[in-house]
Amino acid sequence: MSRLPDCTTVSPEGLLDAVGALRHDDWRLVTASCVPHRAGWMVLYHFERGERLQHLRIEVPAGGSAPSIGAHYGAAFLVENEMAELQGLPVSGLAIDYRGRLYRDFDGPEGWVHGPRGEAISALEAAGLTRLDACVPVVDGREVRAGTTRVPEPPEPSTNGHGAAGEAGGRP
Amino acid sequence: MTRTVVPFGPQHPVLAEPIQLELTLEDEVVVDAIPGLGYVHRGIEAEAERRPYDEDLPLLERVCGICSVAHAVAYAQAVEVLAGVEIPRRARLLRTFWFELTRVHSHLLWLGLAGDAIGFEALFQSCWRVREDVLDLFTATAGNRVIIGVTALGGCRRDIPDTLQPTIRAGLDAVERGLAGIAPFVLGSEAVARRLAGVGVIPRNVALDLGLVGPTARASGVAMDVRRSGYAAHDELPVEPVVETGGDALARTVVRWREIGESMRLCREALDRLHRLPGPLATRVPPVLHGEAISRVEAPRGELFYYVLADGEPHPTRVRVRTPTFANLAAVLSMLPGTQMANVPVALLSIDPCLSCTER
Repeated sequence: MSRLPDCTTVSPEGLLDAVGALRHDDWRLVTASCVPHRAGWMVLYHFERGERLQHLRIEVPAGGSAPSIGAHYGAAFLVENEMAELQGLPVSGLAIDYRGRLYRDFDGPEGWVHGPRGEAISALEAAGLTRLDACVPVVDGREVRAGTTRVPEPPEPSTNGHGAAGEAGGRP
Repeated sequence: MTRTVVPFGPQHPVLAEPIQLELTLEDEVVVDAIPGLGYVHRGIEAEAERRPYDEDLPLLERVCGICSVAHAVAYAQAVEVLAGVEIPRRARLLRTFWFELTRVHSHLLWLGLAGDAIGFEALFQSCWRVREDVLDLFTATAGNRVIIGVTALGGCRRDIPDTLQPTIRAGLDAVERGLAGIAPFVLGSEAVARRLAGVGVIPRNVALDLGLVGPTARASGVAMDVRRSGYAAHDELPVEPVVETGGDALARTVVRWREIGESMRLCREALDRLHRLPGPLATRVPPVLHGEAISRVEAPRGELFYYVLADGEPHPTRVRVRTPTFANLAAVLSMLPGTQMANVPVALLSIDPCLSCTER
């Protein structure tokens, strides 16, 4: 039976330390592979450095979750969202959480219905939805929704060494 | 400060395939970009887990029409590791020939699309005209233009007889004449240089941090190329990565252009070695397998990764495919913030995104 060489099994709790050590040693994250396994999941994280490969394996029991490795590898959010969506693996601490809608295949109401005046309107519109409602990613706990918003202006930098305008000690 | 979130795509004139970017803008400048997928997701990984190993091969070739040879070779290599078989030298050389010809046609296709995106229609037409000569070579050697179905588990399904070599060499000569005609419009064109220079810059450290692959990484000074691992016939046909350091859309264009020349050289050297080389085309692979294996190849867009898990059933338990574009999508996180909205199409196109691969 062929098994992956250079594969180390770690616990989900020990994953971040192991990944951090590889990141420190300049290993590149190739990807992760998730396999539904004994009512839970087996996840392999694949790393490469100078044409050498190394793998970390964790087993996540049903009801458990895998920690996000995004703190060490910023690009991991895509494969982690994919594992959450396609294999159902809960991933905790995602920097960008697509909430199961990385793959935006349309699953809302389809077809046409009669509107209030008997006109034909899309079932989607009748439900008060647009296709953009299908996915609103959450970044750092904040929804990124199409449209225009005003974000608070940052306080003006102090020029007199006594704090920003309006602050105690600053210009009135 | 007013911020506007604009959905870029999934339908956009510069996109041949659907992808959406949620672009957050301040005035005309992008400050954040989040990719969204799934508009043509096909579930091929899941389908591959229901079919026998040999029937998965034509399925996985259809992940992508452009780099179908790459998917077939990557999957076949993983199965061959599981089976513990070594493929004949003739098959390794044949795989290399068709694989490198695929890279030429893929890069020419991309260069034409890039020309179209920057309004250089003559470049688009010229590249695709030369690409037709490459597709003619596929037709002459495999009977098909794009999905050529030449790979078999354990080797190759088709051979290139010595009697066909003069025809193929004449075809390669025609491709090289066409490339020589285009070269002044790619490397010597001020219009191309001014439109692409400084667009979508990815510094080397960012490319390494994000794990970018292929020409996108090499254009940022990262000398990585899976062909150095020696798969197929690359143990006897070594490759030096083509590296540029600009990190912008122009550097990515130059890398792909120089790689075309390198692939033409590899095609000719593979043909030289195939001449009068005896031997079988394939080794038998048993229908039931145990274990797990990974396989990597250097597809035209970068590292293509396969993981196959076998539990003694007549079909794989898991087939995992990580395509180059899936790795390179992370580049939008870095190269789009700070970019003018008008440059987003060119910047996105410069990583040669393949949504057919990504939406496997």
